[in-house]
Amino acid sequence: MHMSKKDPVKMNTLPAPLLRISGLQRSLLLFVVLPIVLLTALGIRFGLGQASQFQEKRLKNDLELIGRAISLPVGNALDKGDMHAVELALGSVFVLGEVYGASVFDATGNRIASAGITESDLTGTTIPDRIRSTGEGQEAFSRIGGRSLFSHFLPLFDTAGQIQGLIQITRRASDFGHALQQLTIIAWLVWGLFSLVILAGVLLGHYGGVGRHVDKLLQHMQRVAEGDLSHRAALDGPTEVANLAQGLNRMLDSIEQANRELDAHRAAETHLLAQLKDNEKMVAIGSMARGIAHELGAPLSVIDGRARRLQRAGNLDEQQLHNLDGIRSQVGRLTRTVNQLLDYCRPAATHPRELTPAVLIETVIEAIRPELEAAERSLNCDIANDVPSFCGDAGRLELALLNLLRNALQASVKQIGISATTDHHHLLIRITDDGPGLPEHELSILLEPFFTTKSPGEGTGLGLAIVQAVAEEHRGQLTLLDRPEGGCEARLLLPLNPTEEPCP
Amino acid sequence: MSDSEHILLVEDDRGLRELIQEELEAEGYRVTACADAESAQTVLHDQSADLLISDLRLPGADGLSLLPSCANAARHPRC
Repeated sequence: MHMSKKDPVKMNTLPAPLLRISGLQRSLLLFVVLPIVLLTALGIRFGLGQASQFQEKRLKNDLELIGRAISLPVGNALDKGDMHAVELALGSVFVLGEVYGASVFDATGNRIASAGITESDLTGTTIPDRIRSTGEGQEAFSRIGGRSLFSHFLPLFDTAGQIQGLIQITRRASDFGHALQQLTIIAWLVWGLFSLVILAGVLLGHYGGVGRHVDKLLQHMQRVAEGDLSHRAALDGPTEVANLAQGLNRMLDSIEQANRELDAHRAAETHLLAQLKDNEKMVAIGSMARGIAHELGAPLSVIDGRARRLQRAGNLDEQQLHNLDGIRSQVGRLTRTVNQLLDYCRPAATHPRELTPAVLIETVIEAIRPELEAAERSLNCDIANDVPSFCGDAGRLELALLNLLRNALQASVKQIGISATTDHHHLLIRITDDGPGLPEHELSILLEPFFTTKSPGEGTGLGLAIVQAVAEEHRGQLTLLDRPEGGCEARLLLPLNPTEEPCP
Repeated sequence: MSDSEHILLVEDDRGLRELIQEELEAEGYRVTACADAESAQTVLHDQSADLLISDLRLPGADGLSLLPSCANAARHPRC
């Protein structure tokens, strides 16, 4: 697992967990293994001390027993003055145990008889005095001939019960140490082995129970750090590690969620910006078109006015009048286009106010009536009783309805219809005709500015685009469809409360 | 013609101005035509008018700015 220095997240990965000591392992060693090892060492030390004391006592008891065993024959032999029997009794101690020497002294400490290595004289010591005063055995360490010796002294009683001398039994002082040496070595070897087993057990147990799972978790984190943000840690291992993994996953989930929301916000922002740009573009195009329309309007009025003056002059022949008619009709066409262009370009500000649908529709019908009568079409008007008033720009809505009615009129054969209904949230105005139905085009194309199915001069191709613009201004919708019974239906759906604000 | 009604016409578009002036004069009115509000003010200062026809959008001050002068001229003894 290679990690370059550029990685933003530096993680302590353990490829060989037993070769490197982690913090947790250090804690385990410090707070578990070390106390166990120290306590067992103390226990062994105490046990060995006890064993050594016990052994020393046993060895001393041995000497005392040996002393007591020979004190009787030696005392008897001394009573009889039989020195040979004394020496024989002294010699018997070597058979009994690891005794280095035995000797018999008189009550003042002068040596009477001896065997092996013993003191030559006790007169210079306090031992005869101590034995006489206590009547009990005494112990002493001494060096004889370069050897460290331990001696046990026992009083010798005569038949009258008086102390007549003392017996000394000696053995090498190092015997006491030697006896325990082997035990000590074995004990400390076992302790060392025990410590190693504990150490290995803890380290292996840590790796198997915790370290391994922590390593896996670290590997999961590494993958996330390397950019795989959708990666999630597996929830195995001990509860604590699984909880950590779960926490990590939850954190990653919330980060991902936050990122998703951020992306959505960004997308919405981009969309809004694009829309704003579109709107700005439309406003710019609108003001340009308004400028052009205004510039064209005045000269067109002048041309029309001059032509009208000529017509009125009354001194023109038929042909000249006909030509003037042609001029005026073309000027009229241009004027219509300019006016429609002005209508299509959204006004700089709308003027919403409380409107009654019935009144709005009546106004539009009155406006179209001359055209209706000229074309000899009938109009069906059906306004539901429960249609409430709503907020809108009367001028713009009249314009939209007039355009829809004019379209219907031009497509119709006998009659057109207009109706208004509501579902209490929307106002639906339907304008129908009995004509040939919608042309074979994409519906969206029908709403494009300057698209027209009429022959040149009959329509500017701006009518439906104007209606669409007015619908958008009112947050409404324009739908075109073929009626099953023939003809076409235009639906203008307007929200009754587009902004929830009170109508001015 | 001198006792006919006097119309003050204010229009910055020359073509329209001349057309309207000709039409009105053909109808028998006395017409004073101005291209902007300032010259119309000058005319109103010197003589009264029976009718003011003005474009709203004019270079400099707009057509509505002529209304106070009209009111003053109406109170003038010459009116």
